[in-house]
Amino acid sequence: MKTTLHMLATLVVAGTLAGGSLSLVNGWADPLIQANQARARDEAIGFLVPGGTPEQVVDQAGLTAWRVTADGATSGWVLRCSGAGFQDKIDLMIALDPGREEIRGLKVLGDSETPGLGTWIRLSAEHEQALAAAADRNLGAAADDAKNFPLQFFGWGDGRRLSAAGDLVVVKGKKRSALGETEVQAITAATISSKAVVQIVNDAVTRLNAVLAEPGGAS
Amino acid sequence: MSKQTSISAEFLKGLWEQSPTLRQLLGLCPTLAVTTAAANGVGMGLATAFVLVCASLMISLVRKLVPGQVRIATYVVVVAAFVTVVDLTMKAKFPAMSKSLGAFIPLIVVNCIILGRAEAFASKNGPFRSVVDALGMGVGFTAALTFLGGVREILGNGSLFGVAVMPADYDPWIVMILPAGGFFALGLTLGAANIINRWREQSALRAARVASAAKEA
Repeated sequence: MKTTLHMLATLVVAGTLAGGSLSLVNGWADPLIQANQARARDEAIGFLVPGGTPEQVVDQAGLTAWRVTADGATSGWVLRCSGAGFQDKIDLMIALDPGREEIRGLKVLGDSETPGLGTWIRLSAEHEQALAAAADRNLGAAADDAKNFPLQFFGWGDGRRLSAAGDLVVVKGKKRSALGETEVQAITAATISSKAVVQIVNDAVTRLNAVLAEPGGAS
Repeated sequence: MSKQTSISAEFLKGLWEQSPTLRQLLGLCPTLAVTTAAANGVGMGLATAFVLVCASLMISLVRKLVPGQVRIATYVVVVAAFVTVVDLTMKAKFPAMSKSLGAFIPLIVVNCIILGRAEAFASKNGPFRSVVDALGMGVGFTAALTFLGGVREILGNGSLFGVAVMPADYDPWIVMILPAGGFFALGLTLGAANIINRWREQSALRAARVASAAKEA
């Protein structure tokens, strides 16, 4: 009996002390974590549709959308969405033009894709810098490289941009100059990751259009 | 009374003689998974070392109060608390590193180096000696992970700590940052460590023979 009580008391004390300490640490860390997440989100919105003020118009499970306004007019839309990738969830943001007809950009915020293959869905730091400096927000010829998958979502530099009607499809081995407005060139050896991104984008724009079409929608 | 190991030897054993990665082959899951870059190796190693030191200190302090029947459960509570502190701190202060290491930070709870040192050392020794032992093991683990991460990053990405170190026309060996590359790098490193150990043993044997012969003469 004495041993049992001793064992019980030990576990209760250990659990209570651990729980109390963690509560204190969480009280300190939680505001910082929230601030980090908000900063990352704001930076991504500012990168995708620069120079405007975002206003959140949709907040649903798996889809958050902001309308960005500049000088009183809509300058673009930013959608945050997620879906299944090759190994785990892919969390990304996409930008749409003011009329929600074209995709203007894509930035992956989190993924666990295969290093060196599926991770090409991410925008490289160099391309992000170059895009931020480019007046027309696309790198034209730079998109013509199998490793530059996300650049396709910023346009080809010749007026071609991807459709925002939720009808994108993944193609393989097609000349990039011949790609249509609904065709996305897959990453070599990472077709599943490429298809996952396209699926997430299609689902997000379809859901956004459905939400905004409802009575009282923000469109 | 048995002769106690010196404090410096207690620390140094974790770097090579009893290196958790190279000699004891403990904690191989994070070793293989996160060493795709040198910075990840440093981050994972330091996080594990922090938990190891804190848990060893705490377990050594309470070792005489905890009944043997519930010692493992108590150790797991202690280790889990420190791992959560590390996880929250990294998310708050080093979000990029936290994102890069992903689930492997919470999984430090089940890293066998930590429970291994708690059971084999901290539960039988005083706090100071336990901390020194944990520091040695933590530094040894960090060094091994940084080395493996460095090799894989150089060969698989042409860079070290994010700085390009290979010629511009170098074609990265993608396989080195894939899981298979982790096994290649670890296997070759363990092989090299075994060769070095064999040389050291043979040298020590030769030196002992020479000393013995000189004594007889």
